[in-house]
Amino acid sequence: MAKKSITARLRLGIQIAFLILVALISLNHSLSSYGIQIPLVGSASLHAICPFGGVVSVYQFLTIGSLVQKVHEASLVLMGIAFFLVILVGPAFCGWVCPLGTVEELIGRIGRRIFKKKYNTFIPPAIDTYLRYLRYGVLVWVVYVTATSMKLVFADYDPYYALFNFWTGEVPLTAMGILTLTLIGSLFIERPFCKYACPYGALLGLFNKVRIFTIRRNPSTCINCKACDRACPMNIQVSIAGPVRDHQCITCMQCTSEAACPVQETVELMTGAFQVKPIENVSAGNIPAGKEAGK
Amino acid sequence: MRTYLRSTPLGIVIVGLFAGGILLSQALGWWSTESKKVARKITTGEFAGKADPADIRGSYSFQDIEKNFGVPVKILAQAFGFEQEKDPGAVRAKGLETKFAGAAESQPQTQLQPQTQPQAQSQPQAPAAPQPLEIGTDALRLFVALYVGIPYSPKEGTGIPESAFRVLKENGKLSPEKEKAILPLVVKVGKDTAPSGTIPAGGKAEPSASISPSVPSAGGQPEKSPSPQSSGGTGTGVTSGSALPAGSAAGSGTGSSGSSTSTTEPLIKGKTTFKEVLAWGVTKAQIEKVLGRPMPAEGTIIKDWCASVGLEFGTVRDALQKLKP
Repeated sequence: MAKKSITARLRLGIQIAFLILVALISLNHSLSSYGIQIPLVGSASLHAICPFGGVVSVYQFLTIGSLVQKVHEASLVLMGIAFFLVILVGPAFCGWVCPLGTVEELIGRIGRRIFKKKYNTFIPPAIDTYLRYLRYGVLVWVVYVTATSMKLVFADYDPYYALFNFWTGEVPLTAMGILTLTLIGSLFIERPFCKYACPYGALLGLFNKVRIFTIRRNPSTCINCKACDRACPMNIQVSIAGPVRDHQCITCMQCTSEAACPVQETVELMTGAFQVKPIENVSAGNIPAGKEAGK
Repeated sequence: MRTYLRSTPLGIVIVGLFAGGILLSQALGWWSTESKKVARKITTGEFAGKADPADIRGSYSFQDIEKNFGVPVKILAQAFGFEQEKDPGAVRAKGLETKFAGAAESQPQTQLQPQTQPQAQSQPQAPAAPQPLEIGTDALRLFVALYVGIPYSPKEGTGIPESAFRVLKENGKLSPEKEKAILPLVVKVGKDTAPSGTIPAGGKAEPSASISPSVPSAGGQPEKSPSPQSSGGTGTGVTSGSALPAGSAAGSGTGSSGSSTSTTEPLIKGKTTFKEVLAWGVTKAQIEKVLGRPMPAEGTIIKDWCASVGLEFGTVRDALQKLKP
């Protein structure tokens, strides 16, 4: 159990480190207007350190050679790093770095205490499945309006921008409203904005189909306890997957044998495939009939 | 080949990739989180090679403006009421919006007469629809352009504080024509920016304020556009632009241009898209000839496109308007 605790704490530690870093940079940016500087912390605008700014600038960069207003070269660098990471290990940016996701998770801890097992199960799966594709609509819209207007239109709706700028008085009401909804929603649903509306998460999620290191379940050792399903913040049914190719996986590692899974080397982030043990070597009843590796 | 990646190495990979990637990009000179604060140069025409006031951004400080345009910080501070500031060089252009927020909006639609006495006369202007003027980054662009004598078309709704107008006048930067054209954009604001002391301590503008979107043209007919270049035969010297192909610029900025587009309501406004221009019956090729480069998506707002590619909107607008059959 100690090892599992270390896994969770390590991720939380990295998440909080990024959250504090971004908050300090954003605060420093505001303070710089008054000639005040927090030492050792940059004072870039939030737009300059958001990899999604690079994504929405790509069209303009390729066609005109300039970046969308308020976006700077640093966004392109961060976009490149995030793309490298997502090809390697999937959307770990969402699960380990994104400060908005971290805040949603932290509020979710309160929701989990209030609603216990009911938490994160309020939306019926039949509806939830379709709602998950909403974020692709948001992605298409954001890229389109940014390409045609050459402005950071999404900033007016972006809860991430609102979260780190609410004190400046520059945040539009729409963004504040969406942030409020997101924070309240997090009390009932794990990472609601990530699941249903985040355009960057939508884009990164597509790489789950082609990532090099994939979450895999070993059907030959799986005891079908569904601990992995319960641990997944994105409600993915890891227990019926071989490799987890779901577009919503955020590589948080909560389902793995390091964390939720009670059986060693059964749910792992890995390349290649598990060696499927002959069925007679596994205790009877431990493997559900009809399951195949890699399906 | 089967390789496991556990949480600890994954955490190291994530942090290492971001830290290493940022450090590497810094080493390669790719990491930039802010504008370099070097205004682009005008590429064609009489002012080629000079820094373009149209490129002043909200993040520019007075110090950046002095560096780029040679307008002393002291003059800028005086013009925009920052003399008491501890470090006026650090004042940013976007700070003007906050400073003048209430003042400009509260202005009634009256016009200051050319012979500017501190107590401006109130002469209600007829029919033009009241439009609040805004003092922000564009006001600074206009001020700098007038100060250095480079043509510039302010955005619709831009105003400049009375203190800036006086600084220009005292420094001999306003010819009578320019002065006449600028007057409708002058906004009387609070005590800190209006040296005349005609504003009550509360800082609110008095009804005798000095703005109006109506610019009398040479023929004495009011214009609907607040842009000084709309003043037709008056030749204001605040028109024209910088980076268009030769021959397409309207007005030379010397006060004698008399653009033909100036006596009618502008057809292309701040929200006009290329699609709307195409709808006039103008071809894409004609537009591209004016732009000197491929036309972007039809739905693109012309003004935004100009800002993104570094062209002066007023010049593009005037050139495109001439295409209308």
